[in-house]
Amino acid sequence: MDKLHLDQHISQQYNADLEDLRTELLEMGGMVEEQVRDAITAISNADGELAERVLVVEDEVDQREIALDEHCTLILARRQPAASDLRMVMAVSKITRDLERMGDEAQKVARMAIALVEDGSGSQGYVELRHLGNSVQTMVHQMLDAFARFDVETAMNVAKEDKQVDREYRSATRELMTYMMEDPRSISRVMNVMWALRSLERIGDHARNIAEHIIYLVKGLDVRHTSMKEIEKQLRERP
Amino acid sequence: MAFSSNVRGNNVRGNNVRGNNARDSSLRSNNTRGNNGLRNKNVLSQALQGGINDYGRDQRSETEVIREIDTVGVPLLDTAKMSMRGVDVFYGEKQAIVDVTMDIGKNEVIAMIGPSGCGKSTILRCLNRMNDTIDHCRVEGGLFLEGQDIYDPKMDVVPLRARVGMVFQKPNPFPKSIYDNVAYGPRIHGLVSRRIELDEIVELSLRKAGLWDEVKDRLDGPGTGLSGGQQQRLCIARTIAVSPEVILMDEPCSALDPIATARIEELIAELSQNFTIAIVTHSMQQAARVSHRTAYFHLGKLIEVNDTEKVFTNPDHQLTEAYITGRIG
Amino acid sequence: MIDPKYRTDDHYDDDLSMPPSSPSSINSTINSTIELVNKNLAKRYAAEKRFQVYGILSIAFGLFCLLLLFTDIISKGIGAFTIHYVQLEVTFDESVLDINDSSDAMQLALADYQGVVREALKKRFPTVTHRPERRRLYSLVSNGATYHLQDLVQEDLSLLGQTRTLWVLLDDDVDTYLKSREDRSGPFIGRLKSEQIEWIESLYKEGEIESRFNRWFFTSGDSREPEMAGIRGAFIGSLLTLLVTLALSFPVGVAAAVYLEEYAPRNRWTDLIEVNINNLAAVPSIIFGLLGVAIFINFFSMPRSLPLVGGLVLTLMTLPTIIISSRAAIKAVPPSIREAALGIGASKMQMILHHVLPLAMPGMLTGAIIGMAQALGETAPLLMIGMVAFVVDIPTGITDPATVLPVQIFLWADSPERAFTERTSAAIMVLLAFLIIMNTLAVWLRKRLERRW
Repeated sequence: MDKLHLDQHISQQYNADLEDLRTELLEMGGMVEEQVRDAITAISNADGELAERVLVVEDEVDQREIALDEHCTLILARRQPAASDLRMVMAVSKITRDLERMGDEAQKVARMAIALVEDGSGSQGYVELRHLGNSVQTMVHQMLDAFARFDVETAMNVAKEDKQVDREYRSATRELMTYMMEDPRSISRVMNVMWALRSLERIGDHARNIAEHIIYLVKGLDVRHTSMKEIEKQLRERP
Repeated sequence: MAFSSNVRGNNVRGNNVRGNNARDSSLRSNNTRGNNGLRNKNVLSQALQGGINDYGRDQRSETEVIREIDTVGVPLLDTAKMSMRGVDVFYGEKQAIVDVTMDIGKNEVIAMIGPSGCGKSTILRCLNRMNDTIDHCRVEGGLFLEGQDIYDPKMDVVPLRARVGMVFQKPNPFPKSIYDNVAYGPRIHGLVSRRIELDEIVELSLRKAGLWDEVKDRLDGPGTGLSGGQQQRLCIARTIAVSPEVILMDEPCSALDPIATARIEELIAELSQNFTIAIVTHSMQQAARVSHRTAYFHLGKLIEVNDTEKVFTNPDHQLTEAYITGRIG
Repeated sequence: MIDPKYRTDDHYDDDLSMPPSSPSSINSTINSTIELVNKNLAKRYAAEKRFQVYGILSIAFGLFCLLLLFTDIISKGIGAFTIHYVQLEVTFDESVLDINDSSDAMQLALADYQGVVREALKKRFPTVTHRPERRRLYSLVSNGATYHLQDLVQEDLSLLGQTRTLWVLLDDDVDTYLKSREDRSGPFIGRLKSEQIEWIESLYKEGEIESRFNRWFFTSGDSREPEMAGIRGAFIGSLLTLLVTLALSFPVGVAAAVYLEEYAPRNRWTDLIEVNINNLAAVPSIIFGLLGVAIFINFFSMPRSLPLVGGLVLTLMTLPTIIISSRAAIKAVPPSIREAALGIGASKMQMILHHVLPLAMPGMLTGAIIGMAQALGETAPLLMIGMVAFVVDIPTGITDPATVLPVQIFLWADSPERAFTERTSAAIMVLLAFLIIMNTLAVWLRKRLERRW
């Protein structure tokens, strides 16, 4: 039941449309993943050039969002999809939005990286950044994997990972607070790092949202604003 | 979910049907008993391995596989107006309907969908015994209208058809005036004794069918002179003129243009306040628009009955999914 | 952003299997296809033209034959609608008439009106004294003249003893002679002697012979004397026979058709009945005549020559036609109408009476018309049941002996007198007119019933 037979419509054109939709989303996802990775690398390594590139890529991600939305609208208008097809189109439409937000957050991280480079400051908070960044990168990657394979299991892992990211974010914030208390001169710089952490955490939230959309797409279950336990229970009930 | 929430949710009894009702005990042993759903899904998924239409791994024919499937969803209701229990219909040797068990709730609109030849029209025509006119048609199992056996030999079809009216695929007004078309039913059933009462019924029926304003000045004009959509509404007016309890509609919009179709759909929504409506349609979008519940038939078997929003966003059965997404037809 | 379109193009570029020359080869095939089509075009048009011409030729042939038939019949029969009269000064002399009591009806009926006519002729041609010559003179005037005089006297007794100038009917030989005077090959003399022709010519020159409308033809029954023979008897006989046929075959046929179409189960028996009905429609009509003789005349001992028996026999003959066409008409009623009626709760009988029959009625009427037309023109079965008899009296009911138009035509065509030839043609014209009127009536009736919605 997990398999979505996107390629078995009587209309070949419909198959192609849905397949295109999937490919385009994965391409956009790839771009956003790269953006996130670059942003994290840039801020971790204080690499201003890489950060500039992230800002450039953002434009293209925005264009992709518009194109995908158009594509979804066209399929809705032309095919009046139902059931799994309908869920596919709806999910893609929502995932696109979350991906674009992730791109925005990556852009913010890149801006902070540029600011930090211009500041030419030390490395406090960078450990936390690298740590959280790794977690978020894994989430984004897994999330795209889950979508590519319509894999609920992986999507569930992503959702669980988000809890972990949230926890890491909280502890990192606490640590940075102590920096600020120790050295008030570093407040502006640490604030920048805080903002970057905040954005990374947001990226994790969006990845979780996308994971929920994937569960909706595959299982037809709306798991938004539901606890993990509840989700797992519902998934068990629906083989 | 994309569709509005389920108003009727309180009435449904869910998948587990216990034999606490006299009528339910007539259920066939392998039919619609809660947990069987799991086993049968396995049967189907085995049959469907490697693709929807690939039955090759299984040595049995498609029909045989289909026969073993049990109905999933919510076939039974607490507030049943009409009920079918293990209905089989044969045309000569050919079995057109296989073991259908379901209820039609009071004042609900139930849509019956499925590929051509799946038996949806056949089962509809069983509900007011229109199949009687077909020589070699044989109906087995129980069909009930408010607990009354429709196929009881003592049951008279004339009052039955007055209680369960029918609207057909092609608009078929009588070649008479608009007034006579609507007045025909009340006349033959002797519902009225005076012309004034008849006038009232005609006006009321035409109003309910949303046709009054268009035809009030030409009631003596021919019914066949109306446009296709108007003719179909005239047929609906003719049907409701005898105040039936149930209205059966056999693809009522298939011969109409989209605007006329929209009118009829609007009308169905209004009529559902007073009548129970069962509609067979080829248009899945129409089923999604007008019905409260949807029943999916495949090769004479009732595959799934569920709330419409459920069927069209996340059907329980893979065959239903395959049909409504356009993978089989 | 990668537009799906580009991808498609890429896909084609990658596909090396397509030879680069393919577009031009497609073009060349298209060109040659068009050339081929053009080459054959002229042939196709010519064939089409020929096809139409065949149709026009057949219609022209049919029309030509019809025209030939009509000109022949009309040219031969038109003469029968006029007849020649001679002007005589008739003296109603009581002594010649042998009447002494004018109030005695018996005497008036048996009086010698012929004598009066002879006296008048003698007076007109006083030079004719020789007995055989006189007999020939007398034979110029038809026997009908005496009936005419009798009618006049019985109407008005004051005529007795008076002298009147009257127009009396000429004999058929004289009439035929006069009608054929204009012929290039010379007039038809027949049994006329030269002195008779002299007398006729002199009367004609004096203007004492006149051609008038032949009312006898329409008002009298059959007669041995052609100048007095009419078709009224046969016409009424046909009418009565048809009435009996229609009154019996239409309801019976429709009832049978309704039962077979709507109620009868489909099994071996109904199949057998259907086959039999179809076969009966093709049975030669003389067989029905034999059947009529066997059943109605021999078994039920009905008298011969009755329109009633004729009608019964023709009913047997037309029933299959009516049943078949009625069944077709019932079958042609759209099933949607039946379903509509049943779906609203009409019983089967209500469905049939309210919807099926009214819609099938025009078709049934067409069948009935065809059957009636067939019955009107039918001779053979009526010969068998004795309607070929020589009946002078005009029938007043279905139990009076009668003959029918086609049989009358047959009888006259068989008669030796020259004057019957034109009456035969005239009777055919009347029969055709009867048919046309009947069909027109039926078409009009059908149009009225067939309300177009």
